[in-house]
Amino acid sequence: MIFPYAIAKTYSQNDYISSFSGAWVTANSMQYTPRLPLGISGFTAKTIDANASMSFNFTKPLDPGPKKITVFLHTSPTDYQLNITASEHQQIVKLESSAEQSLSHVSVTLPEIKDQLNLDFSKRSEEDGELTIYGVSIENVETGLTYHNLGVGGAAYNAINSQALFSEQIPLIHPDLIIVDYGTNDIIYKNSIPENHVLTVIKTIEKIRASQPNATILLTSTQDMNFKGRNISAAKDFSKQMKRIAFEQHCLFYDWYKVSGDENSMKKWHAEQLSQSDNIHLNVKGYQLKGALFSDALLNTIELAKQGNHESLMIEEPVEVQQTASHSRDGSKKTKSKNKMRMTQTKKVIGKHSKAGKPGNKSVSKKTRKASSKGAHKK
Amino acid sequence: MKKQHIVLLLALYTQICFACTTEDTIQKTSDTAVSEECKNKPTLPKTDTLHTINTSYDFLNKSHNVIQYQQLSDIEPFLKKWNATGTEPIAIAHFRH
Repeated sequence: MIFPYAIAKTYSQNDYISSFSGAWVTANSMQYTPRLPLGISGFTAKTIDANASMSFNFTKPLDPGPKKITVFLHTSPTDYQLNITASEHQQIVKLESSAEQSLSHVSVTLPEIKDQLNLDFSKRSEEDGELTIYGVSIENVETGLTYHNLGVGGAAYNAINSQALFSEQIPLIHPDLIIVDYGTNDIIYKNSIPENHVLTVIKTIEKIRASQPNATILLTSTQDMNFKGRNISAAKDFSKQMKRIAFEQHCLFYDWYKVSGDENSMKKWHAEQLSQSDNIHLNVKGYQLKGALFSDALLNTIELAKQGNHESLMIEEPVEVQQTASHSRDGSKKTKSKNKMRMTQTKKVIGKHSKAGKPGNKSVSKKTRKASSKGAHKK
Repeated sequence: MKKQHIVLLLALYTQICFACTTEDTIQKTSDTAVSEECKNKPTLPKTDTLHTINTSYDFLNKSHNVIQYQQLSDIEPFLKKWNATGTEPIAIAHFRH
């Protein structure tokens, strides 16, 4: 998924640069209450101009072969025309206005894209009207794996919940695996986990399952990090909490906190020139390493599961963690008794949602789970 | 034989994660030799077919580099889809900050 980040005045993915013409207003899921309804990319751009355009310049030419281009958009009440060009290829699409904001998208297939994609919009009448863009998906036409990168810089865990058009638009990219990879912006400023975090995550899981019941959901933990000279020790509890939610909600779990080196490991990433000087974000080399590790994890898990080696992949029942522990300036944990809220209390809430969220799944004891694992292995 | 050596041998034999066999963990496990915490961590078995990134960064816990699940049915739909990628498309949506 790509978006003209230049319109939103935010940083882009490093494999393309965007430019635009026309006057646009934008919103994204970093805003607590987004100014415009958001779709699955987490960004929205709207214009009332009669003519407007956006261009994407890819730093490396895309792989050869035909590409399916889906533009998530909406026009109302005026019809627009969209001229899509890439290399010497061109397609013109008439965009019919629609009262329903969510259901509009157009898909075309071009023989190839190479290094540039241009979208030119023009009104087809003198009437007042508006055009809204939610994102552009580029997919290979051939069978294979499609990876949709749906990143919003600065977004926190409530991002998906704030995307008003998420449920209508996500079926259009038909994901089999949905990775929900937030957390840094939730814990970094106060070095603590927000009190309503568990409910926010569960609400997110329920929202995904309501529209994509057959998709597998993968939760993650954040990396160790430092903020303004202070270690964000809450990342450790965050990892435990996400593990427990994954356990209770039958999601997959990737413990990036553990894999990346556990507590106080960010200074090692920085020493190896894998992170930026803010001690939060990785640099290109660091993100490449992270991507390679995740890819290994996914392939290894598939391989081990194929071998029937489930015991090594099972989440054991996580230990209790305190949900709202505050952390002192030196990173050590301080627990206020009035803020104590053990995960056992949260578990009741989770339990209430788990069956409704995923029919057929029940929380099982460690012994039962191991037994069922062995049974599954025999199959 | 020192307790630390027992832990180390157990780790070797049962493929318990080496990252957990620190002095700190060893001291905590005086009764059981291997802590519950240590037992509960996933470990990559040694298999020729597994992918392991070739880096010299010793701070990475590469032995934990797997995706975990609570029961097989949690990952089964994805595995079925993955196994059919020769004939059907498969898509991953990564929502991130």
